[in-house]
Amino acid sequence: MTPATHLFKELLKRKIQRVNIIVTIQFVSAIALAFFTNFSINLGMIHTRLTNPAGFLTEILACFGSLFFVFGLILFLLTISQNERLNRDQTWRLIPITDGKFYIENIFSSFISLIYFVLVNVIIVFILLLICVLFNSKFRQNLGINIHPSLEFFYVIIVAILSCFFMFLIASFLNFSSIAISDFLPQGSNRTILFLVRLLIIIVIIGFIWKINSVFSFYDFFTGNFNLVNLKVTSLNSLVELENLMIVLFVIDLVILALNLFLINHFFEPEKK
Amino acid sequence: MENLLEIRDLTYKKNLKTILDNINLNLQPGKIVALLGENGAGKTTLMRIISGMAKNYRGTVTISGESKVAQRKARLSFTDGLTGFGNSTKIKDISSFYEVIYQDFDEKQFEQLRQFMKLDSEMRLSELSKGMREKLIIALAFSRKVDLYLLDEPFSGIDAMSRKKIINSIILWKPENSTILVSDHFVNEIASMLDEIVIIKDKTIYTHKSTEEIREHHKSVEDYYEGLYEAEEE
Repeated sequence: MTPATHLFKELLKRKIQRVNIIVTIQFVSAIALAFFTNFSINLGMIHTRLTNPAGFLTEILACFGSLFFVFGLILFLLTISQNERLNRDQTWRLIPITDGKFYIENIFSSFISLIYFVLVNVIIVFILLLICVLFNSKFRQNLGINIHPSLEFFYVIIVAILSCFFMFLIASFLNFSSIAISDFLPQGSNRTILFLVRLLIIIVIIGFIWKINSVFSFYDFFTGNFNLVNLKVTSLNSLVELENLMIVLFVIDLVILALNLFLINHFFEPEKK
Repeated sequence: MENLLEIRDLTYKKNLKTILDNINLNLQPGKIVALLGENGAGKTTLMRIISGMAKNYRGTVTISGESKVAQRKARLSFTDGLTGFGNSTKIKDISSFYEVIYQDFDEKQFEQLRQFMKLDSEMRLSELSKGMREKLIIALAFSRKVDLYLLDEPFSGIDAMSRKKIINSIILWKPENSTILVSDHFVNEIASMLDEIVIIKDKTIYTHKSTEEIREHHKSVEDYYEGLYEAEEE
């Protein structure tokens, strides 16, 4: 039997490689964006609106930070796609481990790779910040860091983590259930039928989410009582709602995980080579 | 002698069609068995069920007494299309992966087989022809020390000379008490290494005979196999 740690390391190795590529592209994009917003080429001469050369480093820092969300989203979507490809791949499913354990290792290694992405971004931002502080006196004078970790901030991190798992699990549920259902239909491998089955499942999922929202009013909470900029709630009652959201998300994640484990162990076959 | 592979009352359906119906099969340790049948007979499906890839079947499958899927996977080596690796993956990286993942993988054996197949460890999957890829798959399969080897049309892309060389050597690569179940259409070429044949016809095991028994009563394994379908056509 394959030790779970060995499998986890191999899965993580592959996912970290992708993160490294994404971060490299993010950094190069930040340099390019900083260049094109601050420099122009006219009659063979390069013109800039920057008064201080060290200001370019500050621009790179700002661009890199702002691109975090764009590349973070791209990486997240690519990770979801990679998860499902691995779940369906015969090479990986032949590994001597239960399908359920394989699925959990796959999801968890994806989550760790996203944490790695955040950490790498934090490290790069810190290095750029340090360089800016050392070489840009104007930046040094205007720099003011005001960090007050709060309970809401901690809760929001947990909600973000649970939401990340929710997206992974829902994507797997859509994949597993649609293929499992189509295997019971005549001509189920027909792409049109698979597409229609997936549409139906998406409608069911949206209906389920809407039902949850109508009970707990989470949409109203995020649009009314939660300040996304400062990550603060506007009242103590809203803090309770944030706690409720955490619990509900945790329970939903567990339920979908249980369903996915059942499906992958009993119905979801890897593709033929 | 205890059976290595035991299949009892196996039925498998997909898309409302019965693919395999009431399959019963026992294989002893140390045998080389051919799994024969027309295209679409269910040979690959049977191998996928044995290896735990195909799900939701009725009946039981045990390998060395183990019925749980994870335990069965640990006791068998199934020729895999290597779809889990990117095209830029080098052969040496694939062998490193196998070494980490499979506790029974013998790196020295792989090196010997790799050199026998004339494959350069620095080559990437995208640089391999179909035949070279099949050779790599065979090398990886036989570098694992397991009870059961499932070879699903392993020689399909390989040139005739290499095929003959590999077939003649297979018996040297497998551990003495291990069993090989091979499905292939080149019946005459693999006949010399076979101990038994299993024919799937009409969704079930049509016959399971030793090659010795066939040769006593018929000209050759190939003649016996072709004779079954000729009789049907008549």
